[in-house]
Amino acid sequence: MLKSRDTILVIGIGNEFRSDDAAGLTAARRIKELGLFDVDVAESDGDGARLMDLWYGRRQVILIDAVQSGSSPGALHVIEEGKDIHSMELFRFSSHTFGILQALKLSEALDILPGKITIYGIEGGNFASGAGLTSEVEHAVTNVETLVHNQVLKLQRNIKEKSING
Amino acid sequence: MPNNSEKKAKPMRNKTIKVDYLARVEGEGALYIKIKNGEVADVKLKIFEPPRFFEAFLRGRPYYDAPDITARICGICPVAYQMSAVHAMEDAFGVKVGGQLRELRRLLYCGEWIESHTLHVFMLHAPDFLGYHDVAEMAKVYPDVVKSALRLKKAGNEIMRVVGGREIHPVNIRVGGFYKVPSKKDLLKLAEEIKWARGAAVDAIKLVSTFEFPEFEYDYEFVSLVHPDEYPLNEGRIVSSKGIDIKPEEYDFHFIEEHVEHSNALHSKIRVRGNYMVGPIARFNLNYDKLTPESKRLAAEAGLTAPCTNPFKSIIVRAIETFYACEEALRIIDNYEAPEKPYVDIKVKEATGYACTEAPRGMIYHRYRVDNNGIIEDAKIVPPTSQNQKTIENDLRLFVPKYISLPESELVLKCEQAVRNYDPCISCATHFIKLNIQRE
Repeated sequence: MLKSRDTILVIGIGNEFRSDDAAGLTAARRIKELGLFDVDVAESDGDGARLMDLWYGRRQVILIDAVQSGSSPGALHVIEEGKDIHSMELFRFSSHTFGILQALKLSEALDILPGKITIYGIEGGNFASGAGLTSEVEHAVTNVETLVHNQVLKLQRNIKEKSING
Repeated sequence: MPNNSEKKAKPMRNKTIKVDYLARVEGEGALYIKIKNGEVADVKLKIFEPPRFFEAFLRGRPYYDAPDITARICGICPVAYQMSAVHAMEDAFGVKVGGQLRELRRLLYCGEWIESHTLHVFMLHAPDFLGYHDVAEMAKVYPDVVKSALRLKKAGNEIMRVVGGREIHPVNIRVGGFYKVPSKKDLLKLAEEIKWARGAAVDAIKLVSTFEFPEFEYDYEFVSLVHPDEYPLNEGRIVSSKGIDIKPEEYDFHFIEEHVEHSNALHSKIRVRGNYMVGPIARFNLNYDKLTPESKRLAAEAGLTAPCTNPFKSIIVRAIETFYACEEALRIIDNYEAPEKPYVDIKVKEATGYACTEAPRGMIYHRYRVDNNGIIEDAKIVPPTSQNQKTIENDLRLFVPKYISLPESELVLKCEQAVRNYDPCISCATHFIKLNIQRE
C-alpha cells in the first residue's frame, strides 16, 4: 500500500459473515477494482487500534461501514468533514469492539486525527450470521461506489489546484 | 484521579433494567435485571451467540478450510480458532506437529495474547477502574499510558504478521504447520520490539496493581488446560479446580450446553456441578507453577497470589500474562532454527478429531468429524465466552445487590465493569449501546 500523506485512503469496515455487516468491505473491494490513481484501499474488521494505525498521518480518509440506527435498510448516512465526531451517535451501533467511534475519539484525544474524514454509513437490515447482502444494501453499496469515486476525483482536483496556486 | 462516587439515592424498589446492545439480539435485551422490593429478582444475560452458522457453514467443506473459516468467528482472536481447528484436524488424522513448528505456533499465540490482552486492559477495562467513560477520556489525562498501550498492542500484531502472514486473519496457517516459515533474521528483528514490549508490560502490571478492586470473592470452579512442562497455550489436559482431569476428547462427557429459555443463548455447564470459569484467572490458578520466575515475582509485587478468586483482579492477571507472553516469545526466538519443511504431511482418513487451546479469553473446544475424503461432516465449536456466560450472570446476581441504591446510570456502569472482567468476545465489551428502562 502507498503510504504518502496526500494519498487518499479508503477503508471498508465489516464482517463478511454477518450478512449486511459486509457492506463496507464489499464497497471497498469494488472501489479497489476501479483502480483509481493515487488511492489506497484497505479493509478492516473494525478494530479501533488497527484503524488508528491505518489512518495515522493521512490527510484524507474515507470510511465505509454498515450501521444500524433504525432507518430503512439501504439508507445512506454521509458524514462529511468528520471532525464533529460527537454527533456520530449512529456509529455506536456498529458491531465492532473498540470500534470506529472510539478510534476517532481516541485519535482526537491524542491529537492524531486525520486531516479530513468522510464517513459513509450504510444502514443494514440483517446482521444475522450468514453471507450475502440484502438487496437494499446491495443497491446502497453501488451508490457508495459512485459517490466515493466522484469524491476522490474532486479531492484530487482540489489537491492539484492547491499545489499549482501554492 | 477521579473515582466513581456512590451518591445517596432512593433505593430502587421495583425496576427492570434492560440494556440492548445491537439488533443482532432481535428485540431482546443483552442484559436484563429485575429489581423487586429492593432486591435482585432476576438476572438474564445474553452477550454471545454460539457460532452455529460457522458450524453449519463448515459441513461439506474440506478439512483444510476449517482454520480460515473459523478465524472469522472472532476478529480479536483469530489465532485461537485457527490453532484449535488445526490441532483438532491433526488429532483426527493422527498427526503430531512438534519441534520448531510447535514453537512457532506458540510464538504466534503469544502474539495474539499480547494483542488481545492489551486491547482489553487499556482500551476497555482500565477506564472502568480509573473512573472514565472510555479510553478517549482516559487518554486526555494519561496520554503516554494510552500511546504505550497502542504500541504494545501493535507489537502483538507484528508477531501475528511475521509468523501468521497477516495482522488479522493470518493466512499462513495450515493443518500440519504453516505454508511458509520465517527466517531467524525476521524473528530477530521482531525481538527488538518485543524487548520494548516486555518493559511496557511491566509498567502495565504496576499500573493496574494500583487500582481499587471491589470486594468480591467466590468459590468458582476454574477450568483450563494444564501441561506438564509449560504455561498452556496450544496443548494440555482439561483440568478443573474441583477434580476434573481429562483429555480434550472427553470434553463432551463432562461439559454440556443448555439452551436457555426465551433466548438464543447457550449456557455451558459441568454436567455434575454447574457453571464454571475459563480465562486468565483459571489459567493462573491452575498453572501458576509454570509461569516464569520473573512473572511470579511481578505477580507477587502486584499483590496477586494463586488462587485468585476475585474476578475484578482479572485485569492484573491479563497484564501478567502479557508479560509472560513477551518472555515466552523472546525465548522461542532465541532458540529458533528455521525448520527445513514448513509443515508435516497429512494422510486423510475418516475420523473424529478433538482439541482445546487457550484463547486469550479462555479455553476453546473444537470437534470435527471428517469422511474418508477429508470432508467435514460435523463440527462443534465452544468458545470461551459462551462457557463463561452462566458464571457472569451469577456474578451479577451476587454483585448487583451491593450497588442497588446507586443511580441507574452508575449501576449500569458497575454491571458493565463486572461483565468486562470476562473480556467477553463481542461488542458487549464496550459500553452497552442502547439503554431501555422499563419500570414495573
